[in-house]
Amino acid sequence: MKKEDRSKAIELVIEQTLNDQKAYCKRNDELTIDNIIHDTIYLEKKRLKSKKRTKNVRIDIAFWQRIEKRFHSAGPLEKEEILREIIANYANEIAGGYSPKVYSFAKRVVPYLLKAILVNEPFWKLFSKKGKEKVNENISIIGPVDKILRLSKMGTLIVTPTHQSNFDSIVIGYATYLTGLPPLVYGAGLNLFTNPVLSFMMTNLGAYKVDREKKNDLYKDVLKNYASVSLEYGYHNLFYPGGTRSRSGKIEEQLKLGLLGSGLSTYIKEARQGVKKNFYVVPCTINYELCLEARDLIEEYLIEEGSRQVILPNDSSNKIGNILAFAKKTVNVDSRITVCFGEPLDIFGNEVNDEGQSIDSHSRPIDIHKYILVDGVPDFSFQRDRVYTSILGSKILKSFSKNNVIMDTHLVSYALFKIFQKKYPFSNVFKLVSSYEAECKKELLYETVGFIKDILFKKRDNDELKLGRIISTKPVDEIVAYAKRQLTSYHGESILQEQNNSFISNDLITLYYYQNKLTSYGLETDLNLWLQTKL
Amino acid sequence: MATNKIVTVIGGGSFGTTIAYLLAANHETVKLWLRDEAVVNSINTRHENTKYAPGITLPAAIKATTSLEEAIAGSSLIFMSIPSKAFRGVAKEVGKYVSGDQILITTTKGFEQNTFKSMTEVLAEETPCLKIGALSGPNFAAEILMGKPVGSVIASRFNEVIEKVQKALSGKTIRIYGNEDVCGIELAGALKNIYAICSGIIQAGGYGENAKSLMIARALSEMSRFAYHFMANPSTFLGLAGVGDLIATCNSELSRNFRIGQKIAEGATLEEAIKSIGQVAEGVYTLKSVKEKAEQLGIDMPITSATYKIVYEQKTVPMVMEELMAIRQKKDIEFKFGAD
Repeated sequence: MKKEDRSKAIELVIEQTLNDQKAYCKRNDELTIDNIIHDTIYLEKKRLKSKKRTKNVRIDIAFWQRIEKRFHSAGPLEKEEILREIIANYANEIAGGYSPKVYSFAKRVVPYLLKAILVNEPFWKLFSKKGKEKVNENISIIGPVDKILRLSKMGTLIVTPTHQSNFDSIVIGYATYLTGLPPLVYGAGLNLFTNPVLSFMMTNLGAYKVDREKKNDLYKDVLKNYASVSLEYGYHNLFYPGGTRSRSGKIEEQLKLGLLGSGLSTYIKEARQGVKKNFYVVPCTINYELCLEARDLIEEYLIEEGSRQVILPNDSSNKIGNILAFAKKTVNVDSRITVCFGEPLDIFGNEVNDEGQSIDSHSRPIDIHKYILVDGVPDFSFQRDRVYTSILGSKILKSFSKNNVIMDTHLVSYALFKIFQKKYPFSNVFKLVSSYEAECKKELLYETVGFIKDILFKKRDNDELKLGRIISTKPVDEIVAYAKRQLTSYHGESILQEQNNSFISNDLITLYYYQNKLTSYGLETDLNLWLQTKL
Repeated sequence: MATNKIVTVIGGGSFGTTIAYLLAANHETVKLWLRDEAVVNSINTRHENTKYAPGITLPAAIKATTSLEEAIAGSSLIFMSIPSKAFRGVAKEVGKYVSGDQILITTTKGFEQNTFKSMTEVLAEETPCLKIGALSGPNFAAEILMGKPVGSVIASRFNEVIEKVQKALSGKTIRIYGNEDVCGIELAGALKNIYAICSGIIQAGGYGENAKSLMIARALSEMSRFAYHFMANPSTFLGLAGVGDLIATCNSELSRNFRIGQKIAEGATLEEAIKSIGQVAEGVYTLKSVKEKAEQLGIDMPITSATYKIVYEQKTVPMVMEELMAIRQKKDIEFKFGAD
């Protein structure tokens, strides 16, 4: 957010959040300003208790001690002031800045840095012609980019990507640069602001701070209102509607609707003042052939979902393996990333045409203003608006599913995993991934990959999903060889080894992560029947 | 007493006519759309739907028309009472004349055969309207038209839809309950038709009341099992649109599906049975769709499979009953409501 907008925006966020809290109290008999302050102090003290005493933490502790002391002796009017102070504290912490000078500098330099990170090329090589070709080879951007560019001039964009890796923000930043899309305001984790140089850049590029350790409702409300106000000021936004990175490797199946609803609330707020603004939601998938954090993420998922049923391998040896594999990858791996933009939607989930007009499934124009009328005038309706946002959420999920790009590593992992599930009948998947070693005949893997590939081709033709270049163009044996090379170059030989006529895996946990990208397409029934005839 | 000036009913079959009849108590004008010009004339001049509700005098507030545009103009609440087979086509036409802010309610109990989509899904796809709901429950048109007491459930994700339908339909002889579980209500309304056919078979086959009770109780388990796959709330099946509708439809000759079952058990082919009923029996289509879907998803539905064998594969009733009685015996309460 630009300097000239920042202080006014913070004021708006404070007012809006304060009004929201009063409205919540009106709607819910059991909720009072007292409860809100009390719960917030309690949760903040609890959070800070376990933190290392850094300078910022000490400042935080002093703030909350002062607030608590005031709260205990305050009358009703002062309590509202206390609430305002808490909100102001959060709003000031969250608010990002934006400097056109820094942005213009970053626009020239950052893309090359990003290229260096994404394609593992020495920085100086990226200025060369070969460097540029390398980037084009490794990152592809697909979808209605021209239309999105046009819409960005007619209204405010809310880009909603899938979230798999910490690299996502870098990738999407790079994709916006490559496509010529305007800069996006987005919430970045507090950890990215600890380095003073990075913090300076992030803040001035429009990022605002999101502290995921703060789980209290008041903080979330301030965060949501910050996003709303930035939309009100016309800043294009980026939210990860899934909230955090997908731990399982599956494409998002559920969304967090809080931030997503800020587009609608801003639209209604403006409409009440007689202003008609356009907001366009752009779902987008970020697809990696290899995910840097695959192993860490799936372990977190297994611990959470599998409870005590998973026996994870020894940590320290695993860490050494990881470090070596990571070092090797940074030198050798040439993995592919595809950013796939979906059809832009309005804030109710309808598609929009090239002129930015909302349309129904038969391309008939829709006057979305009518959706927000209460007794003939535009107004908020808490329950209605919650359902509207949930409808938008389900449309985003549909877009994720059909723009999910299946790559060679996912297909081969899926085929292997399904063979192992059939061959080693453990009572559940958690026990299977804990097993030490699994083996399958080469021929069976090739046949299975071929069988699944045929189904995937049909699904692609039906517009149910997208396929990566290797799957689309190469024969089965080359797909398997390519995926094996990719997986082993980063995750180590243990994930997939050849031995005579067989493939052996000692790392079913990582395979499980990659195969999960294919689990929501209903392939299991046909595949299991087919495998029954083979095993 | 009129609470709103104009409401619309699309479809002038027996249930569409009944809904229009109920709405007329609370509205100045109820526009009723149907294709048959002779019936339109009969309703507008003699206040009688000679084809689907003969002998019943309809209120003068009901104005029938063959023009969809005319039927929808000025209306903010639209009921869709169209057989599932024709539903998408009519919904698409309706989509031309609505502007998105109207409330659309389906009263059709069935799925779209090829896609297995529910009627609310079809409405969402074919129209720009977002405020959509489904009305279901044990609602025999003939009894409602005779003024007998009845209860129904309106399901919608929008509280506003529930409130407006309750207000529009409520009267001295009708109670309307609300439910947020649209998927559960639509599944309950559609699935019970399968068991109505089965119940008709049991009745005409002379298998007795014990057998019928056995089937109804196990049908409830089967329905819940199926619905669970679609993220519906299993406890919805304990309500009026679930067990309520199941009891009514499995015990009454007023149910077309029940009568289809009876005819088939008496030796008629499916075509002959349908012809003798003269009206659409949704259960016949639902049976086929659900059987295929259950197989595809690997859901155990023995009663549905058994009914399918009799209705579509011409297997004899005694043979199928014998098979059904021989399947593995499970726990009485196999589905724990509220459990994951």
